[in-house]
Amino acid sequence: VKRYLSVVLLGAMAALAVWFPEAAEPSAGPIPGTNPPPVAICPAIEGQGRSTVIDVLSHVSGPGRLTAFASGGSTGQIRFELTSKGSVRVPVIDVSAIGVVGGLAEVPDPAAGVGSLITGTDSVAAEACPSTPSREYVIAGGSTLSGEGLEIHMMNPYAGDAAVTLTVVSESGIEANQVFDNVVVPSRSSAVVDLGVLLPGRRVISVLVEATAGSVIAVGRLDQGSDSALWNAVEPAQEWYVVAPGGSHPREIVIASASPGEVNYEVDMYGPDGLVEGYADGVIENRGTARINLRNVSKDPVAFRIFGSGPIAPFLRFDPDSGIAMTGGARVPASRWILPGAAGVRNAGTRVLIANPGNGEATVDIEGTGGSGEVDGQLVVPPGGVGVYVLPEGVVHGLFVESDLPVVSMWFMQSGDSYAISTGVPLADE
Amino acid sequence: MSSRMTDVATPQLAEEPTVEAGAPLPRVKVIVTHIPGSDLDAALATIERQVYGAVTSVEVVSVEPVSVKAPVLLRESLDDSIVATAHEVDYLWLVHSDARPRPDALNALVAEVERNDAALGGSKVLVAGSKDELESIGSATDVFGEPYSGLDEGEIDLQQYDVVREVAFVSSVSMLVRRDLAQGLGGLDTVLEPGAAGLDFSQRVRLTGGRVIIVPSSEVYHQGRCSEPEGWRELAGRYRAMLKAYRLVTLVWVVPFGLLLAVIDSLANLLFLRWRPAGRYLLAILWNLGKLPSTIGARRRFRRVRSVGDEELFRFQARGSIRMREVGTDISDTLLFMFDEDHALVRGTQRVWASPGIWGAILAAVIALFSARAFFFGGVPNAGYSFPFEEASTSLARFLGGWNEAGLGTATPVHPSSGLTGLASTLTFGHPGAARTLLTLAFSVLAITGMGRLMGRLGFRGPGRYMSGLILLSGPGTTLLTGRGSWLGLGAAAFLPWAVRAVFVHISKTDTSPWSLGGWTLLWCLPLAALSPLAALVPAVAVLLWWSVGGSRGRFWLAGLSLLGLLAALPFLIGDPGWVTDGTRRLGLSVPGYWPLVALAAVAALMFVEGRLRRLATAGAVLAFGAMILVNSGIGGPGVEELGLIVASFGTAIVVSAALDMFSRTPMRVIAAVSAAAMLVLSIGALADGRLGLPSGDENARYAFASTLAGEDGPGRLLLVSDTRQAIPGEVRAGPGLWYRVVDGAGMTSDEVWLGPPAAGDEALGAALERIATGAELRPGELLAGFSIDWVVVIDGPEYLNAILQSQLDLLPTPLDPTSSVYDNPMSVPLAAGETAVWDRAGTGFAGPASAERVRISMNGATGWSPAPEADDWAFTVSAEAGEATFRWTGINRILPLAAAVTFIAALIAIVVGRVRP
Repeated sequence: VKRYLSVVLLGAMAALAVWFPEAAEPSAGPIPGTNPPPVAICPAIEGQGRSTVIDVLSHVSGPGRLTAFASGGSTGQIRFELTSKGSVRVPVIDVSAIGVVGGLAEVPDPAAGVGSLITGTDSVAAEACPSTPSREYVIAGGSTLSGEGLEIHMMNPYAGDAAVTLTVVSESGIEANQVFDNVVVPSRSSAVVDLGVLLPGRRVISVLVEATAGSVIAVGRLDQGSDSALWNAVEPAQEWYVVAPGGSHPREIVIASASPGEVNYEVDMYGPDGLVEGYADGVIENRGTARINLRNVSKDPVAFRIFGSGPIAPFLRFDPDSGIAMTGGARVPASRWILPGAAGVRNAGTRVLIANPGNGEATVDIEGTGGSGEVDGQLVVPPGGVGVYVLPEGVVHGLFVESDLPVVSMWFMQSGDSYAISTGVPLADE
Repeated sequence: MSSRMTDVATPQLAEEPTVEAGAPLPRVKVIVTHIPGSDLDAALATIERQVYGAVTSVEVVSVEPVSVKAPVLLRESLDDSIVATAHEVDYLWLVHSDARPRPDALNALVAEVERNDAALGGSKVLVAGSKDELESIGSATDVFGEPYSGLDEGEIDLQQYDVVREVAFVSSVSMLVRRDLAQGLGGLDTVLEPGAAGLDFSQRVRLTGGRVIIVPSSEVYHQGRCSEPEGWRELAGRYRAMLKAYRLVTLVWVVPFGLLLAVIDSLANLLFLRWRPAGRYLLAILWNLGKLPSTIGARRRFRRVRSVGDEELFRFQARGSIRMREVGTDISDTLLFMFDEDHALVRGTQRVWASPGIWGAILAAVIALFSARAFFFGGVPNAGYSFPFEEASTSLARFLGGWNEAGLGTATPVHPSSGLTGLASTLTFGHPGAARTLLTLAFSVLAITGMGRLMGRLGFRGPGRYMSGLILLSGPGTTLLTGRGSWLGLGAAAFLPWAVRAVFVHISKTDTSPWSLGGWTLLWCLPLAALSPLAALVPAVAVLLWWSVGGSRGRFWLAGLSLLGLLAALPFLIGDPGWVTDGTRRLGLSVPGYWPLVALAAVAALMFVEGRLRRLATAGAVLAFGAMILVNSGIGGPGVEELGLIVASFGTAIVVSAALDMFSRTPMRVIAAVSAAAMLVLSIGALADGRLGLPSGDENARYAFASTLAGEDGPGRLLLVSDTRQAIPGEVRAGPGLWYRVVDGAGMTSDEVWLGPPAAGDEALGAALERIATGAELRPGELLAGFSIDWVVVIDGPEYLNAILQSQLDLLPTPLDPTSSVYDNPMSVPLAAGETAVWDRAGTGFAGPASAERVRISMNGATGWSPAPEADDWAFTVSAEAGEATFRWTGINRILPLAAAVTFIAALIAIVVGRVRP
């Protein structure tokens, strides 16, 4: 009996050893949410009759600095102090030598906006500076017809070298060129791909920029006559908002697909008649583009909400006979916007366009700061409509836009025969 | 005395002396050397019974007053007796008074000496009172005079050597020498012991051209009262004989070599805890120095009668050194005894296979050596929890209260294994690499022999007791530990059976002194505690468990003494209780379910066989299953986990040993044996890699770029980050979606494996990593610089961190490792530096140029640093005036390691003292 009892007891112990609920393995802590550093990477050109200023606007006071980088190192650095809802304008010539460079602007808080404003004798170009690098960008709307020069400027302010692959698509299809296969953007340097030289005579060009190593920020520069346009490459997404100025000048929306297959798109329009659903739709083939000509839509400012069945990126091309301006769309409506560089050129007319995609009437406060002028106005935008605020004379470094409802904001500037368009920088709600 | 000795009524008649017809027999004078304590009358009576018919006279030489009856004469010295011998006498028979010659002994001597035209003949000497045990049959020597009889210990005379032949020397117990030669040579050297005297006289006879022969038909029983075997006087006498006989040209090389051999022999014997040989050599040398004038005089006198060169002596000498051969034999015997408890190999190869368990031992040893083959060619891998030893002095200093530099440095005493590794490195003359390889190889031998000897002590004799050592090496628990690179776990498993064996001493075993038992217990338990602190509890627990199942061999006082082994580990356990209690620091190992099932099959079958096997198998199974439950339950910290895994293998090994103790065809035995065989197969499979289950690779070589590319500031530290815990060597800390730890850029050493509880610096580093992980930090290098982190290595992942580190400004991606992302941090500050000078490591502290500034040391601050320490955030600064910064524990953390060291030395002394038999 004792033996059998021993066997039973040992069996019980063995069973426990086999089937004892295993202790949870030690695990690492939770991955924290991302909280990107408050920085912006700005393209800059000094020389060739052009000059760049970097406008920095911030809701939060604190120190900041702008570091120009080129050829693997810092070419200069300038520190500045921002007040609450204050602004700073930094001429790049104060920081860097002549050339095409990148500027890394460090600001005290994410509630800030930074923009590049490039001006020449007969040209003006502006764009908000992107902050977070992405693995994949799309930039479209450019062309290389006679008299046009198109460059893709890729900036790498980071410690590690980057390598990117460009997929360039034109009306001829995907363009083959070894140059596009592996473009190295060294650490703290810029690389410029001149599509005007490599692919002359293209009417519509879209470029997919894929980083295979490191991180880059890409912008496009299109020279047309004496004017030029500057616009950001954007990370493709399925929903976009684009605001277009009114008037009779030629303008169009170029929608580029980042997908190798077909992508369906659908466009709703906001304008004087409120929301017009299903204004347009179509199919974009293999990384191609679709163009929506806005010339005959309305002489009033309008806005569009664009949906794609896959990732897409829309761009507004403002193409009057005497100048050129480009900008990308906005991903989301927001209650707070910063429009760096708006009304930043003396003797230039600036209008702020506010689209209200919501169902209620939006009351929008517009404040300008810095420089020699001051802006303090208000605009009421009906639901589904687009409001225009014409800025008074004076030079500021940019505008703060605050609304009681989410809106989409951009600004448009005309200086003689030169034009600039820039979508604002949306801020997270407080 | 044997029957042959007393059987004088029917003596074997020797051949009559060969003389020409009609010629008288050679006349012989008998000289009896009186040996104190011997029965002189009995000796004279045996002389009187000699059948030889031409004995002219009998004289007794004695320095003590003894009474002899006429016609026997008494002389005070041998010289007197020889000188006074009349010219009519042809031969002198020199015989000891403790010798008992057979009646025909003299007759045989004279006959053979005459027939062989020899100058000196010696008798075959048998041990009196034995069954014809041979003592001397004439000997060869080596060049140093060390006798070599060729006889085995206790060898019986079966007339196997009964051939008259020339020898190097004969025993002085009974020798026949030509009278003229004896008078010419001055007889035996009276200051020499008999053995040495015989050698000396034989050598001198040979150098005068005489032949020295052994006459086996002349048998003499010897009571052995004349000398103490291996006494220093014998050794001294051999030296004197050498100095007297050899020419100067021979002495020039023989003497230095002799001294060198004396040193080697002394050291080798000290390894066996025998100090007497060293004393003997010393006394022999001193005695000869004292006797040097008389030796020189004797040399001069002998030179006049010398007629041949030393070559004549060399002809009868063995090659090499007989003493060194004996040392080699001692070593091999000792090693063999580890496997061959029954001395089967020593007793003779023909009986090897009759020894139970010997083939199991040999098979297990072969498998173990095969399993460790990679160490012979590539050393022990540096991976997981297995890393090189530090320099011996640094390691010992760290154990005895030095700074623990693991991670960012910790105010916790270092893991006690530092003491053991320091000791091992010291014993290998300061070669930590050799010490580590030898120690690892020793682990495999110790595990196998330990299990064999333990189970032998518990009454097992079967082959399974040694084979079960393989289970200990790579059984259910140890294979998991070694798979993670736990070198310490492997070592603890190897020491465990020896420690348990030390406390399992049967009450009937009285031939070992308590000093020795206690000493051995401590000697095994202290290293065991150093390797795996909690494992030092096992011997005591085993005694209790064994007692609870009815066993009686455990000794409670030894079990209590074994707990003193914890002295080595207490500072570490007190300083880092989380090592025992913190479940988040566990390795997260669990024993696969098939192990308890197979073990259960074996032990269940053994329940129905004889009681001895049943009891042991039960105890083993309870240990194994209990340990497995403990491991799988997740209770306790890494120390408990380590203990559980080691004991799981130990218990399973006991079950296997019981199951394979004897083979028979009874169903239960077959089931047990098959189950045990299955467990062995499972274990051997894990050993197939040739590294005893330890992981491959060299993490130090992988990160050697830190040293190679280091500037004047030194290699600093590496921050290793991964989302796979095992990808980082040693203990790791949990971070945001990742594991991490910092390691020394100069290469990780064994003392750095365990990190200790987090201190202020660790908290600060954790917070810095949290910030970097959010992507909010644009300059992570600057953030990590204060920790002296020169390199950040992201191994395998996490991907999100790699993405973040691609968008920062001051950690330079450097393609130094094909499988990891390596980032150089040019912002890093040196480990120890002032404003103008950088300090280097010196022992367990730092040293550099003395100055008036303060030096910041990027280590967690702790009480004990000097001089003039001041907190600097989480780190500290010291005054640079002395040019060095040192750390010393005070209080219990200083006293306990010293106490452990003293206990270790005391254990050695106790063992030595215990070896001295009354």
